[in-house]
Formats: sequence, structure tokens, C-alpha cells
Amino acid sequence: MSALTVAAIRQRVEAALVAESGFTKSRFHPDLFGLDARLLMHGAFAVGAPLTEAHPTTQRQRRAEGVLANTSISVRVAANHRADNQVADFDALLALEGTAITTVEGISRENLHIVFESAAREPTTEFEFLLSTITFRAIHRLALQ
Amino acid sequence: MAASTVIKHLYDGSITIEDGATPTPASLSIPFTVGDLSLDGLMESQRAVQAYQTRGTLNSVRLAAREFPTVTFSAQLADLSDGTDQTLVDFALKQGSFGSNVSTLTDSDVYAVKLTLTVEGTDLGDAADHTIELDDVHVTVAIAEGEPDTVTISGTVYGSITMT
Repeated sequence: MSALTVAAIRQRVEAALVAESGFTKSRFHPDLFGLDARLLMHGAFAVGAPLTEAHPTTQRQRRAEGVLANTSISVRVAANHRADNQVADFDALLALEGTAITTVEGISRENLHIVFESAAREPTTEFEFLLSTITFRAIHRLALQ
Repeated sequence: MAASTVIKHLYDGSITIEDGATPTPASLSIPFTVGDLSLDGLMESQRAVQAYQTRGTLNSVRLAAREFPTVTFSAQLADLSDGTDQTLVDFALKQGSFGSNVSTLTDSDVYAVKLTLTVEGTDLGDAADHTIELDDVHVTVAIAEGEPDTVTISGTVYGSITMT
């Protein structure tokens, strides 16, 4: 298992979603995504990598071998929320979320394991859109030299 | 030279395994060892101590049967077995790319190897790195699934133990 950078993992996830019909990459940083509903659209998404930690297993962390690491990958997806179609729109969000999960789980596993952890749903402040934040855990080797 | 005052820890260690071929043994710097090597049962004489007593009186304390130290360590599992690529499992089981290995034990049908733990010293200002060489170790292999999968090597040391 060779080393893989966090950026490479994030980009691998993003590229897979870009290639998926119905998804549009947001220009915003993942932490800003969804804060301004005027800048959202149905199927917009952002991919973040908020945390990388050494895997809790005991390991020597030899520089030549790198360190086994866990990186959280968050995928934020937006879906329409219309006053007269609320339940169906929520189902549409769930459908987008499901597609995002299967797409991410389908990315290349070269030097990478990626496991699903959670999906949290919430509306934007004024209920204009629904947001889903899907969290994955990427298990990879991080270079130390 | 004075003894080192730098405490060593698992990040300083590396383990190699060698066979008994001469003049150049097959050797593998074991990848992804987790830093849990344990060497137990070291004694001055490597013989059991027998206390002979009668009716509650200790008569003699004598050296008795030979006892053999044991060693165990584990590594994260990246590869199992291959005809050309080198793996710990193949070395320990004398198979795959290490199928032609030679035992370190002579006049025996037991496949034994030499294990060396090297503890970094010079990088820490010591005069030299520190080593524990275990000769004639018969090893067994345990493989376990987990996160991550691991290979655990357990061995009995039948040969000399040299520390530097």
C-alpha cells in the first residue's frame, strides 16, 4: 500500500461525482457550501477533508513506510425544497445522497480503502434547499518523507 | 563510553529476518512492523532453577533443564505470498520467493531463522545503534483480520542471543 495524499483522495472523490449525472461541483469551500442558499442549485456538491488522524493501531511511523491514517471525507449535497412538494423533494435529496454514496464507494481503491460512516440531513436557514452531509472514512498511508 | 541516557521507544526499532545460507544469507527488512516486539525468558544460564527441599527446608538450588526464550512481534499485512516479491509470511514459512531458504540450524530438519532487532542509537547521539540478535529461531505465523490485518510471528530461540 503506497502513500496517498489527502488532496489525491479528495480529488478522486470529486472527480467521480463530477462524472455522475445530476451532480454539479460547487465553487465554494466545503465549509461555506450551503451557507448562502442563493448560491445553491439542485445537485450541487462540495467535497471536503476536514480531519486526518494517525490510525489508532500501534505503528512505528517509520519515515520510509509512512503512517497508516484515517481521513474524514465529507460530501455535501444540495437538493431543492419546494413548499408545495416537500415530501417528494426530501425523497429526491435521499436519492441524490444514495447515488453519491454508491459513486464514492465505487472510486478506485488503489492504495485506498473508503468506508461509509454517516449521512446527516438538514434544511438551509430559510428552508429553500435541503442539504445532506455524507461522511466517509478514507484509510490510507500518509507519506512521512 | 557512558551508557546512553536517551530512552528508546518503538519508533526507533526495525526488525530483519535472515536464513542460514552462507556466505550471504537471504535477508528481509520486515516492512510495517508495528513496534510490539517482545522477548521473554532471558536468563543468565538459560536453565530452569530447581529448588530441592525436604520437609520445608531448602537443601539446594540447582540449575536444571534448559529453557528457551520466546519472541513475538507483529506487522501490518500488506502482502501474503508471491513467487518473486518478498513477504514476511513467505520467509517465515519457507515458501514462495523464499522457498529455497536454508535453516540456520545445522544437522536438523527444523527450519529456523535469525531475527535481529535494531534500535536506533547513532541518530540520538549514541556511539552506535543497538541490536539484539536471536539465532536459530523456530517461528510460527498467525494471521488475523482487523483494521488493519496483521501477521504475528511467534518464535522460540534455540541459538545464541547477542546484544550490542
